[in-house]
Amino acid sequence: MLFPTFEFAVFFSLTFLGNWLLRPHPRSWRWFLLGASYVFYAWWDPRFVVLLAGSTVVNQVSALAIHRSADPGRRRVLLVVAVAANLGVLGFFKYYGFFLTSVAGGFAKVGLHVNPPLLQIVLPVGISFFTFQAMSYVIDTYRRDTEPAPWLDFAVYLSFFPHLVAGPIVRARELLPQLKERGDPRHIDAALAFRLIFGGLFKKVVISSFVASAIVDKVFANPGQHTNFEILFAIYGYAIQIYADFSGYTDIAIGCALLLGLRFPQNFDAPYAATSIQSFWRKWHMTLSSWLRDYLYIPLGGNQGGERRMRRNLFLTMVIGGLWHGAAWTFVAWGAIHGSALIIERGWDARRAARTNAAPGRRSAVLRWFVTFHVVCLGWVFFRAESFTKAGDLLWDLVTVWGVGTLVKPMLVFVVASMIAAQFVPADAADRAQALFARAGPALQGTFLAVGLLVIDALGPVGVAPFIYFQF
Amino acid sequence: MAAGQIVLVGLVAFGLAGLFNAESLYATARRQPYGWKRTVALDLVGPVRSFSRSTRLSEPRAKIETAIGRDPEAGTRSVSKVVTVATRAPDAPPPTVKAIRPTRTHRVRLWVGGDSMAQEFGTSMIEKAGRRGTLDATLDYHVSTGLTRPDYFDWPAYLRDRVLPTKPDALVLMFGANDAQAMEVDGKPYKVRTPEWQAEYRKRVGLTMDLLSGQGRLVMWVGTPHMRSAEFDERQTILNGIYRDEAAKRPWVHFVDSGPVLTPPGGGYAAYLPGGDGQPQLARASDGIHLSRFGADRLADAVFQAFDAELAKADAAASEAPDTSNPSG
Repeated sequence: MLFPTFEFAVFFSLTFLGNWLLRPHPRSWRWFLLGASYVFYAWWDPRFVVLLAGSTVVNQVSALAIHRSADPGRRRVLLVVAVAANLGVLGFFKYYGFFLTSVAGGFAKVGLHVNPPLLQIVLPVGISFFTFQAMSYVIDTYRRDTEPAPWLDFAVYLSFFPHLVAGPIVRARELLPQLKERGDPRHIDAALAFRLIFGGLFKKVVISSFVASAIVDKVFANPGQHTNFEILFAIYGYAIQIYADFSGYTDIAIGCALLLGLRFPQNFDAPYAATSIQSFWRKWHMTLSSWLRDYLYIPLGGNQGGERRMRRNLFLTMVIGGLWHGAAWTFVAWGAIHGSALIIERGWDARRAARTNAAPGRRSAVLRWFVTFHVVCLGWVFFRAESFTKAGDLLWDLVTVWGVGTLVKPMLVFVVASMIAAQFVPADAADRAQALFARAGPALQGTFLAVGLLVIDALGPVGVAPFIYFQF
Repeated sequence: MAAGQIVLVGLVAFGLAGLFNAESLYATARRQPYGWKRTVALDLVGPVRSFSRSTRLSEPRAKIETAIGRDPEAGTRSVSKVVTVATRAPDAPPPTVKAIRPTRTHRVRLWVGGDSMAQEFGTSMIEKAGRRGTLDATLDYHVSTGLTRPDYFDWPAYLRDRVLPTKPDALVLMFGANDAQAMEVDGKPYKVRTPEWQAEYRKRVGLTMDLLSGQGRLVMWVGTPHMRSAEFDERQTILNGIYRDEAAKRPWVHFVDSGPVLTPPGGGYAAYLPGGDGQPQLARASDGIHLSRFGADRLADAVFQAFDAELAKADAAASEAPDTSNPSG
């Protein structure tokens, strides 16, 4: 069930009513949320529900066993088994074909031809997200950062539909305590929720769809047919498309959770305003960045053990983060670009700091923004391209096929420029509009939202493409 | 804000939005497959649409759509006849394919289109056409379309009004993945396996092929490959048989059977096929219907092979009876 659909509007309206009617009855309320979340997930494929339930059981059993054991060795073994089980399931569904074809391709290069037992496995939507959430729960229990929750609470936490298929990646310690609170149906932050939901819908349905159809899909499908000006705008366009698509999804998710009385962490904070790659990763998919930091980078050694080891850890974290996004070498390349950029940036900053204590000027900030944005865009080329060949063709044509072409129209330039400029604009105006909305009466509020739905539906395409991050 | 107020706000918002977007809701209801769900949806949306029109609440949306260059009535018009143009007198000799040679001023115009199956396949076609250097290729696919539901997307009308005026020298079409659904014949819905459905679909395919005939124009009609679902595959086999039969009756149409191109030696559906180096490569999308880029490349190669063979035949015929008219029809 996609967010911007009639089905979801009906589903969410019923869930909203049930949620607040049952909120005074904690146990019934939790069962209701669990049921609603399973219905939401089963809408894609009822078989997926078995996987989600299985993940719930395995991780809860592991967390309980780790918590009950006082023996450090046994706790460690249990943790390794739980992490291996999670990665095994993720690996089977997501990387089976990629792994076998890569191995067979490697053998073929040395003259050995093997016929691997290939299967076409349907990737359950959101598996990467709920697997990472489950792993964080078990690891936090092992670290004694959190205590195992009751079965029902954990099942609700893992399956809660707003974050289930594309995040944000919510930690157990962020959501579980909220399940114990008594929500107050008289005080719902609906103005913020509506702002997030409608802003997210506009970004997804209007902006992302427009940029994709106007230039991105055409140029990335056949770079050889286009000029370097078109290619440049297709790359900028994809940067906007993926931001509008993914941040739009998480805004809707956060808004829906808020209407149900639950708060999710922020996932985006004007990432294209970043003036360094490090800053970009503090603003882009923030919940994944912090997950990778806490459960991968730090366990690898983090900043400990000297500069060389720190660089290795940084690079490995980004490469694995890239592979998390998809079973293709292009995602590995995307992670490697970011890892390399972070290493170069750290070295550069260290040398600069050693040379001078002066704070960088405004011109330096503009230059740093420009370089950061274009490094991010270079990464997006590999993220979006179907293969290295395609990415290479696109980059080659970018510097060799001079011309203007016909795809870069004023509206496209306006949308791309506005979306980038909007990252630098403080949210004061939106805050004021939100406050104004909050003070209005229900009839005016309803009318305002109806006009929002009119504009979004009229400007959007017929039918809505799935969100990009569903495939991850 | 209290939950009760949110319910009230939601009711006002959805109610008004329903009126503002009544035409879009009506078009969505019409797009549903024939059956009780569609009937109920139309019964529910119909009065809303009438009220919206009478109160002129549908006008803001129409104005927005007009402003962005979209037809506000798309998907809501009635289609009285499937194909409204007869291009050839019954007693006229059937057109033949003409040798198409690119010249300094005329590159061969190739149009590639169809439903979502044509997206990946068409992209491969365009890329390969670009490498040839003598073709001006256009990709024009429309997702969720076909020949069974002209009320949703009227392909024959679109071909007549939007495609043929561009004077393509050759057309490559791929339909079928959305067509194995119930179809209305004389006001009654019929399922694929019924003789009525098959007779009507055959008529529509034939009329579309006739519509595309032109002086020397070549039409390549690409069949759908085997599908993972056995039941769906069975229905596609019926459709492919119709395409093959109708193409065989028309010398300007060449049917390309994608089955053998995307099928392993054992036959049937295969997600992976051996690539050029003999190593397995993913040929199909995870839905078991659409093509991966590798599968699309393979099919595009087969289509170009057939395309070249057809032009070679036309060349041979032209050398026997030279034709000096314009290269395009």
